[in-house]
Amino acid sequence: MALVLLAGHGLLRLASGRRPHRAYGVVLAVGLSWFAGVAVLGALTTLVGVLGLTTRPLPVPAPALALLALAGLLPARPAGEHAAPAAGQLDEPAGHAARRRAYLVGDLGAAAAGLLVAARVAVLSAGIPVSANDEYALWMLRARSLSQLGGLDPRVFVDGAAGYQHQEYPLFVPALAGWLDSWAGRPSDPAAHVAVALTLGALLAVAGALLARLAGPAAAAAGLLLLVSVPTLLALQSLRLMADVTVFSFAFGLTLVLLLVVTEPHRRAPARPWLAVAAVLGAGAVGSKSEGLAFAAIAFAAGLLVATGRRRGVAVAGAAALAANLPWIAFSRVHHLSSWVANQDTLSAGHLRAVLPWTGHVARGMVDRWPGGSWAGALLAAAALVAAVLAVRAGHWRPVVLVALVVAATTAVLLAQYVATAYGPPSDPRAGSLLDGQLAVTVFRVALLPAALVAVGGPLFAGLALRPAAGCAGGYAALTPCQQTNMKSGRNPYRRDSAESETTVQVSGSAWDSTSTSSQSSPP
Amino acid sequence: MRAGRRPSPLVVGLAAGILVGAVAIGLARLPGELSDQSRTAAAARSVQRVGSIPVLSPGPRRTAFLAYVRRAVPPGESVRIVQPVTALSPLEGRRGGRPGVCGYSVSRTTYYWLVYALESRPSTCDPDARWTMYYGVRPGPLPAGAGAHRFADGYVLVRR
Repeated sequence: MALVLLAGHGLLRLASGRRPHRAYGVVLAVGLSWFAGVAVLGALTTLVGVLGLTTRPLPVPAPALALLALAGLLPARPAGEHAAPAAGQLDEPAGHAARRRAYLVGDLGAAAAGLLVAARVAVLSAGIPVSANDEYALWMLRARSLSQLGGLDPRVFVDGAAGYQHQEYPLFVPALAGWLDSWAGRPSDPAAHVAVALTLGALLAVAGALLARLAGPAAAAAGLLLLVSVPTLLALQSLRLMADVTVFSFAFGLTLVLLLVVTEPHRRAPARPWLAVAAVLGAGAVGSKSEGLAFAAIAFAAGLLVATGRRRGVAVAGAAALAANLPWIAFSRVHHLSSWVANQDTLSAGHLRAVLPWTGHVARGMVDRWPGGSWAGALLAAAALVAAVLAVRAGHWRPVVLVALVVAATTAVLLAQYVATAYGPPSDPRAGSLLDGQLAVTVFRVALLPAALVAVGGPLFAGLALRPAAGCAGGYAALTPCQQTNMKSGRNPYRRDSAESETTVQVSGSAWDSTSTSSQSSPP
Repeated sequence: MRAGRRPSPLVVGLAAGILVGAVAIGLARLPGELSDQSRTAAAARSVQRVGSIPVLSPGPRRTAFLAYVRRAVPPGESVRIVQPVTALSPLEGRRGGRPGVCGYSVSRTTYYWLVYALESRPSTCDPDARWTMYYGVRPGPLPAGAGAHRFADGYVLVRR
């Protein structure tokens, strides 16, 4: 696990062009390094498997990760990396010092929450054997095949005759469990549970720290509390060896990072470190589960819509996320591993006409089984709406639109998935019971992303509404009136004005701070 | 409110109310989630095992048979799994197959559990497979030269 973490650290350093603890702060650097490590291990394992090599740690994956880890630890600067500023170099306004302290409080709280939850989940779950259908039929079977058979054995991963389920599902989660099996010397459920616990802990650390940067420590604390108490997340899903927690963690983190990108744009702010993180988290979402592809695509598309002036960077990050998964996508296509959800049967015009009447039933079923969909969920949704209005009035329309788009589009995709996979029209007696069974056992898992965003939306937007927008007398935060005019006229609102200071500090403790960042790749 | 100005008292009040309400809902939910988590984990940890295989709904006797098959069949070798025939599942994605063999027209949940319990011994539909596991089904006449270990009635491992 340490090698995974260090390899993630190395990847972030290479991709961001800065040492992660300087680019993101220590807490975010650790949490994001775990996510990056999981993503790079998954992508690497998939690649060597697709190439017909062994997926065991030796001879390829472990040395490759070690090299990556080394790149992150070397004192010399890799190509493209720029010197971090000495502390005295920062020409930091007094208000930003206060903000830095607030971030520190948020980071410490997030770190504490992540550590506590990770430790609790690890202790509670380490002795639990694989016992749920999806655990053994989908995820751990593939993990054990990778570790015990040592590769993409065609009998398991290709042969459709033997009835293996969802052979098109990506491999990042099995790759992580298989990696730990290999080091343990045998299939190890406890190690896989610890990996899930670490992923959940990293999610809380990353989410808390990002929320603190976006909306302040009070909003971060409230948001973390709501996140960790999303029904079934801890109570059930944290104890299962499935990909739902992982895909949720990557996708939720991706959404928060894109929120930061669109909320904190600065005319000289180097987007590269955060867009590098967005690429890593997007790759992880795509590589964790099929829904992750939809979640990441929606998040990047929403980012493209609202990230005026940074669209090229967002597009590049999205393309990188997809590129990391191309080996598996190609493997699936070559071996005709069709999706159970989207295939020529489910997407045929005749089938869609037959099952379309299920739409209302599915929508009601999703509401009934929505994670946190009780009275408290309704209250949180109402609070998010009110807070969204306040945030828009404060000039923060971009994060509100981004969250709204992600929630609406992911919910619509999930609804469409249930409708399209209905067995038959409502007149078929088997179709209703099958559909209800499917809704009962999956909605609480797959709808985590929109449910958590709705829950966290209240405190997030409320915090944004309270946040004074800097450097702007009206309209969008952090833009000069001139730039707002440019935005309305379609010109790049983030283009640097020649008269602007080289030393402005925008977001202390993050990639937006300091003079050093101004010498990095210019934002698009 | 205009950006760049201090938020009005009304906005501050509303935002503060939302934050307090969010904390209240989180605090109201969290103990129940933690309690459920502890209870679920304790129940899951208490599952018996036969060897490395947890005893699930098939019960200890059948699980012991699986443990025997794992010991008898070397890792990496394919196993043909034969189960009692049931109605074809509406969720079956295959266009055809021999009922009762390699998961076709059988209890799919049981089939997937068997496949996992035998991990690293992949399932095969090959009628000439070296190993065939009869799980709840009496084998017919054995091919010439084949040997069978009868664990219990209907629970037999055949080696060609």
